[in-house]
Amino acid sequence: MIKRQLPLLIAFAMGVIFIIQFFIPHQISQDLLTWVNKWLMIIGGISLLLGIYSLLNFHYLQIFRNKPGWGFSLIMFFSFLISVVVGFTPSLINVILPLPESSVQSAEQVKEWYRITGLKDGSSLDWIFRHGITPLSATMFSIIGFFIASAAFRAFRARSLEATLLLLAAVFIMLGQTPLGGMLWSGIPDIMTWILSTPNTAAKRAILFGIAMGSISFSLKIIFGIERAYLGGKN
Amino acid sequence: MPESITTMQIIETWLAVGFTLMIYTFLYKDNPIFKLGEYIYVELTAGYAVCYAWFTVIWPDLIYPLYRALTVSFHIKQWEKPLESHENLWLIIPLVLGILMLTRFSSKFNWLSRYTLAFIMGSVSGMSIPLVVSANIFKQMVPTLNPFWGPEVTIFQTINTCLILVGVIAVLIYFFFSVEHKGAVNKVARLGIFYMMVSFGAAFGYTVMARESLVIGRVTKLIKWASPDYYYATIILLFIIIGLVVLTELFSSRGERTE
Amino acid sequence: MTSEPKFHIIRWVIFALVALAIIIPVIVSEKIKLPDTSSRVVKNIYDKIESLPAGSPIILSIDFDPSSDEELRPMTMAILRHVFRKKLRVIGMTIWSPQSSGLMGDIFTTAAKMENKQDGLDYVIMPFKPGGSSVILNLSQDIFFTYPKDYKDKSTKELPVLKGIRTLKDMKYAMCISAGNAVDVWIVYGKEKGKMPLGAGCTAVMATDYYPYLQSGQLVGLMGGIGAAAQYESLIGEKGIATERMKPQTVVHSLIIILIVVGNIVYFTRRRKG
Repeated sequence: MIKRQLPLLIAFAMGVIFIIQFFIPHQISQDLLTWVNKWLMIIGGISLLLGIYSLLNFHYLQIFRNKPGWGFSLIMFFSFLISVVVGFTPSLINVILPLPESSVQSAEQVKEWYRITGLKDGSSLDWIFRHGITPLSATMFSIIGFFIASAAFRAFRARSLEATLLLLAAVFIMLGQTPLGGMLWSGIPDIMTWILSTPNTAAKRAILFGIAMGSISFSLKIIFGIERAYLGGKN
Repeated sequence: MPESITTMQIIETWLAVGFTLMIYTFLYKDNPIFKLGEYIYVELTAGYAVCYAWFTVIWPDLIYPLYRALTVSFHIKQWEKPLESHENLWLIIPLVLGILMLTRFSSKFNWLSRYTLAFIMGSVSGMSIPLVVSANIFKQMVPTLNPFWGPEVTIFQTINTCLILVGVIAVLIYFFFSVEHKGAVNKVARLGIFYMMVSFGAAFGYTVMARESLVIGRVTKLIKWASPDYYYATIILLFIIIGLVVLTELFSSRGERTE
Repeated sequence: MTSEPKFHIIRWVIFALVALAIIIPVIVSEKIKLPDTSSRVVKNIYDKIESLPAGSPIILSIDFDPSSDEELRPMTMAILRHVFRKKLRVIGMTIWSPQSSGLMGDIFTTAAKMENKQDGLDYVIMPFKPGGSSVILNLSQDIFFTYPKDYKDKSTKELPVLKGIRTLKDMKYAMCISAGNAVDVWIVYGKEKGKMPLGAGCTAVMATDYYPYLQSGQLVGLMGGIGAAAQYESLIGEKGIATERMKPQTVVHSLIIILIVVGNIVYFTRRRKG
């Protein structure tokens, strides 16, 4: 009962409460919405740690069991430690060594040095973000640009009427987005606008209806306990 | 005239160029240099996320307000600043739910995390249903039939509205698999496919712009960093990284031959 | 020659062509002059911001991380410079990821320096809070409860820029610049609860998905990708990075169209030969 039924009851109760809450403008109802959302934000912050634990656990096992590529897992741990140590050290120092109160000026200088949150512009963690994470992240996703060109040559064939329509639409959009389209023929930007605002809108709207109805039915299945996969486990 | 570049900025540039070129070695093929860059990225990001979770949520929204509320409620400590609206004992609830969530680490007690998950899933589902119905269904239905007729509506707009209406119905029929796609239903579904192909083609055209703009951004920066101001960072590091990739290739092929 | 090495060589040749298609226009950039382009969906955002009186509070939700920085930063900078020139009060926030906060701080600081604006007086940056829809729903109830402190740990209740503001309903305009589905979250939760006009900026990949919302009026306007950023730069009379990048962008698009055409010619020729 407490392992399975009670969580389902909680899901049902919260779901029904918040469906009804939408229609009640009273202040108590609005306060309930505010507080529960605040709690969800806090739980979301704690849940971030879960994902990271799972990543670290995987790499710990790689090293511990001497699996192929364990050297990379070691580098990963080292990188993680750098981020965490750099991020937390200023705060820990601030807690362990209290700020001197001898003069306002020196207290301000010490506070500036220690940087309580470690997140502000110019802090060490911010440096890692700007000069480590940013170039790596930006480059990682830019690689796709090269592969799109390769795919355009090797895979995009006008094999059928549908494929031809797809290619024609793509070509008009690619030309219309840049000044080249307008330079070649003044009608290209207008055709691009029509493609986006008429057939594209129709198709996307239908897909949107489908997704909306799917998400509503999924939400209802969660509330009524039909969908239980999120609980996990056998018992 | 550009501002003078400091030594620290040059070091930062060389680091950025190094990381960029390490990732670009993937264009040759998956190799240890790329993997090194990839793994450094993943874990730096993870560490950054941990710091953020603590400094922006766990400490200021949970631990510190709850600590203040507890010390005031049980008269343990006097604070100069009075309690604010978000600092009260109700925060024990998310604290307990968060701790229950962390029991997922334990193979014996992980069933406790179901309470938190049920709380989250139930609340979010309940909150989303009325809003999704309003935003994605009701508010999308009216413009499917509008503008159709009126003093300011042109014939072109009327034709477009008819085309949108036909398109929406055709695509919805295509995705309705409870009825067999035969005869008239098949014809309408095929029309739906044509609409979707045009839409996907438009999406592909836009995707090309998106991805190429990312490449252009990185390559533009690499060109800038190849200048004498940055001590030809791009050029020198390009040769070093190509050399490293060649060396790793030689070592790996020698290893394969030995086996 | 076996097909596998041939396949790799063709691939590397294409990669080299893409690289050249970018490098050459960048090097000879000053010699290339392209006409300005415009579209109604981008102009709608510009007109909306132009119509707001000085001192109007707006929200700018920066929901992208470094992976989309090259595409969305020019757009964000153009919008920010415009709103700063209009003397609007800007609340910067993010529901995307911790990395978005770092980017947001950098972009706001750069734009503020260019337009001589002060943190706390003309704009405020809020820290990242997880929860997406929960953050927006809470903003629709009480901004100070959602963000008791700003990005620099200052109490939000004491900031002059937030004077007279309490909820999303007090906002005269909101804009979400997103690399993912944050715009969808803003439409469903923010627009429904706050009822303020909403504009969207997104990566070009996502742009086609938001046209139904444009037609329904749920979105005032839409900026999709670097092309829209270039259009906005010309509207505010400040041609910058986005305009410069349209030059290699045009060449690369032409290259890809040529590759598609050549690929199809090769395919049909081989098919005819059997």
